[in-house]
Amino acid sequence: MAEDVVDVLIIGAGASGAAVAWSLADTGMRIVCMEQGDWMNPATYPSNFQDWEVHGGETSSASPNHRNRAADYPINDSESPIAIVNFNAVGGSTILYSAHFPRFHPSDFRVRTLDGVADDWPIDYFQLEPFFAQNDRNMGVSGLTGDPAIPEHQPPLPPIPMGKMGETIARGFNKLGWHWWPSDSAIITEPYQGRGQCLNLGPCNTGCAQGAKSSVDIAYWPVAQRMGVEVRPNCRVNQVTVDENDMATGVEYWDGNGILQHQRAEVVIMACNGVGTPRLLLHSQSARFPNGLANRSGLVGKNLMLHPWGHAAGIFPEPLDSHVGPQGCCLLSQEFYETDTSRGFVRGYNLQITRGSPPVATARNGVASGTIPWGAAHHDEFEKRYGRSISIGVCAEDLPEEHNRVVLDDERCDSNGIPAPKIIYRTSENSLNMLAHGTARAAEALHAAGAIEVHETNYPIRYAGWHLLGTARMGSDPEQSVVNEWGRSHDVRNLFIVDGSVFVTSGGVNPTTTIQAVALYIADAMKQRLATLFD
Amino acid sequence: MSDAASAKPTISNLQREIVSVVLDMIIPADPLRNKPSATDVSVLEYIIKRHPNTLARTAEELTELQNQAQSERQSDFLALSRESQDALVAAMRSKNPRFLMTLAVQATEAYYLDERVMSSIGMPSRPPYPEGYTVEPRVNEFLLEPVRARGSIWRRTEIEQKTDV
Ligand SMILES: Cc1cc2nc3c(=O)[nH]c(=O)nc-3n(C[C@H](O)[C@H](O)[C@H](O)COP(=O)(O)OP(=O)(O)OC[C@H]3O[C@@H](n4cnc5c(N)ncnc54)[C@H](O)[C@@H]3O)c2cc1C
Repeated sequence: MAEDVVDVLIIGAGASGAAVAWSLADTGMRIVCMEQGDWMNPATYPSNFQDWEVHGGETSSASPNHRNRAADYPINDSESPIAIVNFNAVGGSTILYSAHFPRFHPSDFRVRTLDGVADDWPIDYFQLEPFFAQNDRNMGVSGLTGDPAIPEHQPPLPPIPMGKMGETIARGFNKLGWHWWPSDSAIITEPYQGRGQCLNLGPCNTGCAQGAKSSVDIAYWPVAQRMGVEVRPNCRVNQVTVDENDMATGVEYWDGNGILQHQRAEVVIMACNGVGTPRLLLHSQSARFPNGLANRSGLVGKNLMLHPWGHAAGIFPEPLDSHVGPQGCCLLSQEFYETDTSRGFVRGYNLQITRGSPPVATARNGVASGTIPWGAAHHDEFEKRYGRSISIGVCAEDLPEEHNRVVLDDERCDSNGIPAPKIIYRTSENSLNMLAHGTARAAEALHAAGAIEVHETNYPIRYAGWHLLGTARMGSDPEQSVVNEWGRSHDVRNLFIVDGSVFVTSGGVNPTTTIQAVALYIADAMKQRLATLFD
Repeated sequence: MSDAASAKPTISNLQREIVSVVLDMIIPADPLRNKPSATDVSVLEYIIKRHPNTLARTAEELTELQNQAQSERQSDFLALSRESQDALVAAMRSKNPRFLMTLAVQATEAYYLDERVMSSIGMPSRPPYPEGYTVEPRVNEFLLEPVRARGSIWRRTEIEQKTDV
């Protein structure tokens, strides 16, 4: 019997895979998405349980090395100050993400022209604008129109509540004359497309039991499935296969029963994120591609950017109810986003104002660090902290450097024997200067808002490798990039990449809305060229 | 993740009695705030359920306390006055800041899961889902006035300069 051939095979059912599948679905092509993890069951998320803070379970850690689920692959991060965090399931890392959803700025696509560093993107903000807007509607994004730090746009839902803590820190920013704005958040604040609104459960990072957080397993996949896309969970791709004409023929994959199978496909789209995609390409070696698939430039895995992260937290004299509400989403400040070289670095950073910790975390961290002592003073110190803290994260734009890279590990493998990725990464001096500046500014804002105690964390924070970018960059020159300006591999004309790997630079904000806008843009470019897609 | 045990964790009666004194040192009751002592919370049950692999080490530390009381004060730990018990534990913690730290952290976890403690800090003792919580206010437009008044601050690129976007 002839082998079954699908039109489009997407690898990875995370943020970018879902967006590209949804967009291509209206072509009527036969689309299959293979995902190494399973569907998640929100009834198992910790916030269903009274002991949710210590409940444990599949979603209790963002580190694949700690979680060690069958769907996970280990990541050797011994040569990186920043450890990679992710999630592997239908929904990808959006199962755990905070859903903080700021867009890249127009300047982020023009860093060479504006600042003489890194490279310009071959596309710009305004080309992506309709796809940002489409993605906001598909995901369900809340926010307030009119932010002067970004071109005008209209989030479909009203913003996440600031709460007393938001008001308090906003007053601090106002005192300093600095920008702030309620964050765009991929969390629905009103009933939307059959989903219930945010209930301020708090622990977005262990999965949203309410389904108000727009993880793509609930926001995108059910719609794409209704449009005919087939999701095949528990299928781990081992290699993308190619023929003698340098065309992808499909993928070799381990099915749910652990049997190695081959699936033929006319088009293969990679959406495994900025670590998973280069890993799979580097592992897809053949006589035609001895250094890994689509890697004639030698750039697959290189230029890894991670957004080194800084942090400061303040304790305030009055109760702010900061222990409830979506933890990662409240306000942002982009006062220091655009380049001002007098600060000692190029490019800039975003300040992400996040809520305080819930009771167990407040007390446990206080006891472990000694800020909450033993004895009767425990109660005073706990009360001083609980519901009265505000945190500010510093998301620093990381510039591309070839020595920061993903390679295949010599020793560790996943449960199917595929080599683990290894991260070789050094935080640049520019990023460290930015973090020093950003952490000090975060502390300044907290003081201005009336904090009675401010703690700055050492940077870069280790378990903050959330944003995985740059390892199969986009560009028009095949020697300087892996994919062209619409996501097609220079070397393999029916192979596309749609995740954060294609980013030329990292911007200074959480990247997922931009990753999805790029994925929708690439899908649209494919649809416009269907007749000549492989020319 | 819980440190699922292979061997069944055990703790002697003496160690149990010592631990109940130590727990009261970590978090004593606060009648004004309606808070129980950690001694009155099921800390050992919690540790046995969630962190069984750590129990043996904690038990050893409790025995160290007993040994120290005997060698330094020629007395069982439990027979010492509360003041002397406090002083002995403080001395051992200042020599080794990690001493009894695991117990302190785990006791704290167990404590803030207890229904009486939850209600004393104003948290309903129920899971967050499905009832959730209320956060007010949504957005304070008044506070945004100075931000709006400054006007647009995003940096123009040559594209906007050319097309005057
Ligand atoms: C704790 C945490 C918090 C975060 N918070 C934010 C935030 O607030 N805002 C923001 O913008 N971003 C945030 N992020 C990052 C965000 O989740 C990612 O940017 C986004 O999910 C990336 O989308 P993706 O499609 O590139 O990859 P992913 O969503 O990671 O999906 C990749 C998928 O590919 C699958 N896959 C990989 N290899 C294979 C294979 N060989 N075969 C089959 N399937 C495979 C994986 O299992 C996975 O499901 C956060 C991430 C984490 C972990």
